[in-house]
Amino acid sequence: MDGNRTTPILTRRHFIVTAATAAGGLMIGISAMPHLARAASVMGQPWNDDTAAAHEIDAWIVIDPDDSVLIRYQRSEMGQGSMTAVPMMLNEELQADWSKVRIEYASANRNHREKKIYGDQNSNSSRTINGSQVLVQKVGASARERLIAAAAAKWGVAATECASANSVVTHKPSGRTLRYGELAAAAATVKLDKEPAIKTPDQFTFIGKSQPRVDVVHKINGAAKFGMDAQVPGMVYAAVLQCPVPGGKLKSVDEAVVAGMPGNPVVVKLADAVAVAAEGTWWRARQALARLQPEWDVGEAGNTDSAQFFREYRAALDGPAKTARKQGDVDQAVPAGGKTFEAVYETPYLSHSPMEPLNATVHLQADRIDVWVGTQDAYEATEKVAKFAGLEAEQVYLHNSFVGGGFGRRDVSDEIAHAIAVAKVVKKPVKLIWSREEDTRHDKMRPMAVTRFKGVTGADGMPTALSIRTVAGSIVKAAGIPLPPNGVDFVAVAGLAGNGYASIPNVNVDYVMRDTHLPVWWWRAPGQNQNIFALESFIDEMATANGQDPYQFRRKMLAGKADWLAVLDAAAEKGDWGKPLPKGTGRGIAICDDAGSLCAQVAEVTVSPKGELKVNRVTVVMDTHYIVNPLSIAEQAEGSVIFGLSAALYGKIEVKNGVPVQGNFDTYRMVRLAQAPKIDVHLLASGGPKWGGAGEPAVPPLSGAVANAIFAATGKRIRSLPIMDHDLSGST
Amino acid sequence: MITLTVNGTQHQVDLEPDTPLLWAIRDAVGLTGTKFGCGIAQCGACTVHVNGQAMRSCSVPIGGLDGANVTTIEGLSPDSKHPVQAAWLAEDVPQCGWCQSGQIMAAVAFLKQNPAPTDADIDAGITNICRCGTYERLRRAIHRAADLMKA
Amino acid sequence: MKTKIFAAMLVVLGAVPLAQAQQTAPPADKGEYVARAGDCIACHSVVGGKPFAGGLKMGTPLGAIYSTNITPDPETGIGNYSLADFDRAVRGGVAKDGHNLYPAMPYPSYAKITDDDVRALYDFFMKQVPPVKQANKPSEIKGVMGIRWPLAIWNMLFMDKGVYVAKKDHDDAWNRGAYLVEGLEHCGACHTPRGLAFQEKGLDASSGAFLQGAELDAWSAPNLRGDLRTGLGGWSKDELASFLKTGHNDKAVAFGSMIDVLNNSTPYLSDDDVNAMAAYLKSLPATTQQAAYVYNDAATKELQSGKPQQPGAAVYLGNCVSCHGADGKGQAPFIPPLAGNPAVLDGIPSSLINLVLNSAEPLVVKGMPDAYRMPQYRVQLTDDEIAQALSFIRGAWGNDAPAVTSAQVKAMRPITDPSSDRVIVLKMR
Ligand code: FES
Ligand code: FES
Repeated sequence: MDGNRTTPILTRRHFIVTAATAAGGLMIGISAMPHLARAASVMGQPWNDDTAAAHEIDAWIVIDPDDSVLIRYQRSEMGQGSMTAVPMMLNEELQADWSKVRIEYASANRNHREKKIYGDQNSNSSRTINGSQVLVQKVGASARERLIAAAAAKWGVAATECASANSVVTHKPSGRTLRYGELAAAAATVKLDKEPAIKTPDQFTFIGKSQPRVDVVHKINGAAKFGMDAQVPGMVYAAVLQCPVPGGKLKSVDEAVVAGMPGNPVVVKLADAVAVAAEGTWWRARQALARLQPEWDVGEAGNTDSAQFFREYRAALDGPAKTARKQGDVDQAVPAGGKTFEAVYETPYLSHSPMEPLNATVHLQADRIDVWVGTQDAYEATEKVAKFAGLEAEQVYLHNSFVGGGFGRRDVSDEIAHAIAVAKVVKKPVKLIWSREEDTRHDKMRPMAVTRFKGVTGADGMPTALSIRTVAGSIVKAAGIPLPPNGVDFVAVAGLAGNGYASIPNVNVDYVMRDTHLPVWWWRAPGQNQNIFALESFIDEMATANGQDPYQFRRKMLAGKADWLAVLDAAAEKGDWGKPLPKGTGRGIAICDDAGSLCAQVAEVTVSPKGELKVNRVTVVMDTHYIVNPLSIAEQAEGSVIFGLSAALYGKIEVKNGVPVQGNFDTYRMVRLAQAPKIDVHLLASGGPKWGGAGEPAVPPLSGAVANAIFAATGKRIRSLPIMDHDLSGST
Repeated sequence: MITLTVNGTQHQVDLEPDTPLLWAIRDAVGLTGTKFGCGIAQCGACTVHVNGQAMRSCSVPIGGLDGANVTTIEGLSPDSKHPVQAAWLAEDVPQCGWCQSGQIMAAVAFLKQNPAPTDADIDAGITNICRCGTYERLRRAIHRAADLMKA
Repeated sequence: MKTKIFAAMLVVLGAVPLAQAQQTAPPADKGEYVARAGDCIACHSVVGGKPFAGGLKMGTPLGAIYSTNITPDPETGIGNYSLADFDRAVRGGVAKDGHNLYPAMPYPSYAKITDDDVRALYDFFMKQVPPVKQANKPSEIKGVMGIRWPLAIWNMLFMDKGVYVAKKDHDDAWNRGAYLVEGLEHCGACHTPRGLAFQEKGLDASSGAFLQGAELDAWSAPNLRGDLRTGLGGWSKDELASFLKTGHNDKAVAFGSMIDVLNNSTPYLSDDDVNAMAAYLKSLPATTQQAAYVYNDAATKELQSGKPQQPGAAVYLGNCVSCHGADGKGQAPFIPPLAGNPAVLDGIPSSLINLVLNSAEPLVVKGMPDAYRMPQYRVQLTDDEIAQALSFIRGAWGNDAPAVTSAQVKAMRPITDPSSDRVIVLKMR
């Protein structure tokens, strides 16, 4: 074992040394409990190995003599299920016995050393499937062909006479067989003349069948290791307090007040934060931190508040704007018998609030750093760590773990920066954890937005012109992505500029970039999560004012778009659209395309005379074009509905004196079981050139569908979120 | 020094009496299956059983727990075969998983009091937050566990 | 910004004899001690501002007033005040220029401060507090009430007491306790009910109304007398002392306006002084005959069954039980019991409603914030649910206090500010 290496219990290697030899290979079953060894699996500890293993076919696949197969998964598992789905795609080609497959994270360190052999490693934009599909199918096909070639060579027959299935290669004419485990060593040395073609969807036999997720077995008994669960001998615990006004700086802090507190607390000053490291338990660090009274330089931002932001955003509706989309002439005269509409929609800042607060554990040494963290992008995080630590990327050993919720938050790496800064001072391994309050207030927020719609409908009641102007923060700018030549942040107008309603002849979509001192970032279904609420509500306004059924109105607008109509129709049918409802109950419908998939939802709500709102049921129809693991797609849709519902009903981060007000779940309220509607999910797979994502598309339609259902139930139009700020009493 | 029996093993915990049980379990005893989500008894991620009662361990100071019996998710069953765990597997409940130890511990205690719960009982009795939104499956899994426990 | 709503406390003015007989100057740290005991900082500072520079907004039904700059800045503060000027302001409520002050300052209590302590205080402000140039904000009280004449009359009627005089029939400790409670600590400002003219109905132990409990700032300050259930009759002297020292004991944890007192004042007093206050308070007889509180476990059983009958019990199970327990005993001294807690038994439920809606500012004892904090329920529970839960709590475990109505919660919701969970320690210098 590498002498420099951090304590062995933290790496898979220890597991190999102490446990795996009995099986004679690299990887053994996850558990001595047979009922938990469900088909493919992963260890409770997904931390990767950074070096080549003994029985590698290539960097992705290891096959041991006992036939156990290890597949390396290059992205992250944060509950979205792709740690199962991506290896499933690989195995569609590899044809290994799924029950013998084990999965681990691919090493970001190795990816750096071996020229990005795993490609990029991010899990965002719902693209783990889309971004992996061709690559892993190729990897699997290549390995399979090399296994077949190795068998053919052994038998002295033509490879074309052989076929593989279930971890066995068969020589078809003679019926002879060889197991993968017997072939792996030879296969590793085979060079194919030509890489094989990958299967087309009509040839799939494995993809598309529900498989239990490999990580779940570890999430029912406490075995699953997340970033916060890393334990490094000799480590200290750190808590951090950042300047209450984001962007502010630390002026001074009296360190003496923590002297003598338990755990020998050490105060570490950072540019915009103060941290305390203590021995024994994180609680001691947190307590010592609470005692500090830092002085901050908060600047002008310290005089701002939410009401002012909204005033300024509203004022900016009448200022200069950039054009995102223009077709026809929205200023044409209103047709005879036509009507005009105008409405302004507002959505506040939101925090991601993953269930596991941000944290990172680091062990910084002279020529090496180990980092245990749950990140959505192990490759990029490795580069950032190198920068923070002043080392080369090859010296960074980032042990990605199960991620306790990401939703876009976990690829900034600010928590890792803190941990490294503390480690530099205390010169010990450090586990740094943000409190829930830090996690909420120092989130990189979902931007706030104010959007104005102007619509014209003709004599037939259908829209002839739609003009949209949105004032919103720029995630694209925050992420350092260059704006396109039109100066429009394409995320800020997502769903507005390129929505399915192309039937409107005259359309104008404008964008006004406006930020405050709150940093913004990708939040589940960026742009769309607020734009679709506004757009689908406004469409509903036009439909209902013209006495049209909102579903039929949308059908007419989507005429000729078979894929959209299929999703919309299915949602209406499964959601019982049009069936009678008691007084005070209503249905709403909404649709969007997001992350390459289409999603329509029908929400049914009841509003009591006292104004209490209950979302009874949400029907989701989602067309991801292709389906790898139906089980986890359905789970993602269910989760998205709840995620969207928390935002719709309760979500807002307010600012007072520059400080984000909401800090913990008492003030930043979440949907719990009592508010959770029944959710039924129906999946479509319409095929086509693109594989759609599943993690996000069911978020955007939710708030629109619920708001439209409230209108149906009460006649009250919700034009700003969260809904809890609206008084619905007496409306039914 | 406070004596805690955690999953049947005695531990001498040398921490201040105001230390929440959660951190004693995670940092001193070294069991990390119990999770930190909020620290103010709002989310339930830290739920364990103290002398058989479900408690949110982030809000239980160890000062009053000398001699207490604590069960964490790791000690719920020797083989992960508790009916609630079995139901969780069958319904594929967890997503990110961070809330799930607490959900399971809360469900186990809840089912002791409500062996045949209705949906309404479940909604009122389980108040843990799941940010991933696994509620649909969670509800089903609790019903399934109730059935398994009857059988 | 912290706002205090004073129920139109039109306080003081008038000529109080100057403290003439000055002895030798007390040591400088004595002044700081007196300033602590008087809790001057809580009103004369704002969060994020300089110590004693004033500016705290105090809402009154007549308009807002602002506390003043009492740093030794000659222009905007009290830098030009002589000891006599200072004394006239502190014990008499008249500024150096002769105008009647509008501060909601507890003059009737401060009038009892000894000459020695006034002088120590003066030295502290002049020599220890750094001057801050910060102009006072004008009062927003308009119209006829802006003319200060009623104050003179008010003063004639209600400010008839001078410097504290030791009672011969009590020992030194008791007298010291009385001096602190009636005088410097001005406990009566919150805990004594007020009459029609907003005067405190009693200013010392001779009055049965003194410290009988009152409602102010949307908080109900509990009865501090010997009443067995709603007062401190069930507390031992040691329990009282421990509460004043730490904000905690086995029966209660401080919250609401008392947080200011704990964060800035009583924990800094000597053990002798705290014990003296406790001894004095324990001597105040009950005003009403009450049966001693007796624990009853019917509610505990209802909660433990998991099938609560009362709607409030269900709310309690969903939101309160994990900290305060099915037995209502909390986890003393860290998390307060609800069973038998005088604040729970208080006839006026304002504090309980306020606390559930908004939680409390963190209790910071000698710079160390509390380990556990009450969450806010403003956005999580409806008026009905809060009323049900509080009614349940007030009827459970032998508590037997009147129910809370939704209308009471509804009325409190808009007029109370949510508290912040941020830890703020005001610095004396
Ligand atoms: S961490 Fe204990 S309830 Fe959230
Ligand atoms: S599974 Fe992620 S929070 Fe519940």
